[in-house]
Amino acid sequence: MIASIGSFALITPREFISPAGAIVHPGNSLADIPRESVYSEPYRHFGKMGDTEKLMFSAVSLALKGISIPESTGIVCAVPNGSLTTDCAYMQSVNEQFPSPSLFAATLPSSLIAELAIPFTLRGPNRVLAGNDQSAVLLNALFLIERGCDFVVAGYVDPNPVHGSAAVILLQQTETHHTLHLDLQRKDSETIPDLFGSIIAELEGRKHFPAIKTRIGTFHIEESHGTTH
Amino acid sequence: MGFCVDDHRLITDQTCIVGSAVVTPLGTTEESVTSLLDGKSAIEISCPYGYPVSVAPFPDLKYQNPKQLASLLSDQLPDLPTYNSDETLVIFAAAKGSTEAVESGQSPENSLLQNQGKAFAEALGLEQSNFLAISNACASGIAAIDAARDYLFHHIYETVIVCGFDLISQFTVTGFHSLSALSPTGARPFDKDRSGMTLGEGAGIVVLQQRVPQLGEIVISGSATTNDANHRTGPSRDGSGLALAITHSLKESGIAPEEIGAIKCHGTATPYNDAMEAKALTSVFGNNQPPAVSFKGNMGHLSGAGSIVETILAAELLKRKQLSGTFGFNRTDCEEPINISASAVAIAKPAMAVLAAGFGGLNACLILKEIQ
Repeated sequence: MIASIGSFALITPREFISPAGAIVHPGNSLADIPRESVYSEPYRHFGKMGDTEKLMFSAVSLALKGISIPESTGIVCAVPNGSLTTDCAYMQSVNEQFPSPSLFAATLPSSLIAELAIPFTLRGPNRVLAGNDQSAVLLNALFLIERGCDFVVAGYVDPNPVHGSAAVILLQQTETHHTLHLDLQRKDSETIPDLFGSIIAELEGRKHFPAIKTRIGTFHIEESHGTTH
Repeated sequence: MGFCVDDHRLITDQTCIVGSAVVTPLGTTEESVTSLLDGKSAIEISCPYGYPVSVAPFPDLKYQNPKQLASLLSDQLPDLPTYNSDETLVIFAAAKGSTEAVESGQSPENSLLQNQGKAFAEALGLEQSNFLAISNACASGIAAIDAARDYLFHHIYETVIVCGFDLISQFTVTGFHSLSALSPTGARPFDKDRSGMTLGEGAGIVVLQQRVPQLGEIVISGSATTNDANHRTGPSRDGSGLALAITHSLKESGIAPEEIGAIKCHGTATPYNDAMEAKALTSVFGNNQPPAVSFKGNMGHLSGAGSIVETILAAELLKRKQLSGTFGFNRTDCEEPINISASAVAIAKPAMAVLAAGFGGLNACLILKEIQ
């Protein structure tokens, strides 16, 4: 399977990395992301989002800055912590006063999908993976490309303020032979803890991005020119 | 829309259902199918956690233990231990992790969906298999089957097992009650006198393999997910997202809408959902629609695991060429020409569409086909 990389973004407590370059995180934490750092136009629902949704929305906004993608774009996302923070806040509302409908509506690991689909008008296929198996995210994104999806937003989000991060890679159908080879292991969540970070480190500073190609085997990234599997 | 399905899926190998089992408020697979065809409902008028709402609980409280549930499923699948290997992927599908862990303030790790899923896979005796958890709200089951088909199509695993369960809890009852979504008298999908949904409990497991099917076998010949990109909790008003999922699934199956013999609707019995589905069905199937059913008047809404359970029960009905009636349905107030079955009818054509939808604008569809 093969797909081009259209764009990327990585947000950590320390920095923002995108095709535009790397900048020092201008906020104090992952929960404090200045709007102007990631997108130019205000989005009125941003303040109502939970931490997970805000962080993922910011990463996708950063990756898609200046890029137009079609409605048919798919989303594949890993959420290691699910909706844990909102779950606890909702249960607190049950125990302390009355159940909050707005909190309950966000108590799903998939809640962030709506926060991406609505503002970016993405009506393609969706898969939310509970856990942090980043290679499974990439593999499922490539599955969707292979099934005819022109673009897929693939990423993960962990809103932990100390060691959390969010990363997004935009994949698109390609004819290129200029590839990054990713050989994905099956049981790889332990052996590839930061696959997206590794790929983005490879991409940082490039003017032209290679494609991603996968097969099942031992993980490595290598670049080749003008060859195919 | 630019998303289209490549014709390469139209090949000899198909995604075959090689084994399945459910536990629902109506009982085991066989008991559930019989009860559906007999027009029985497990819905009770109750007052769970102090709220006057209808529920469809398991017939025995002990079923609420995930280990007991796993045992009830594996008892119906004697071959299950043979799949406990590195050649198998287990996909756990659910809308949420352990709400009981959240309610009781346990360690956060205990509530995470993937940890609950891994424990369930171990209880099923599949601890040596690989594991993935998919959570697409109330469309999780079909989304997981859709992903399973990719892993099988690319020969990454010999077998993919999709499983999941959902329980009624204080968390879900208070939550859906706060949204004014629960019926005090029981779900009546598509009926003009409906008063909301009923929460139910259920578990399901389906064993899938990619191979040349035998005559009479039920295969999953197409599947798709889409998003409405419209509202965080409510369905789109025009049903276009679900219609798109149906269209993609049919295209992947290589069959036309008029070749579908029956439809298993999501059918939650909330006015917005029912109206959305009616629009989606009319958009795809036009004025001459195949009979459609919702199981939620019989056994409530089983949340994320629901579409695993409902897919299995739909496949059982397709085998029997009998579609059950929609419990509680008499007369619709939908303007579209939907063909909801009020009582059991014959399935005249060997293909069935199974639909699901969920919070976040998530839609899913799969096509079941009997090989002839």
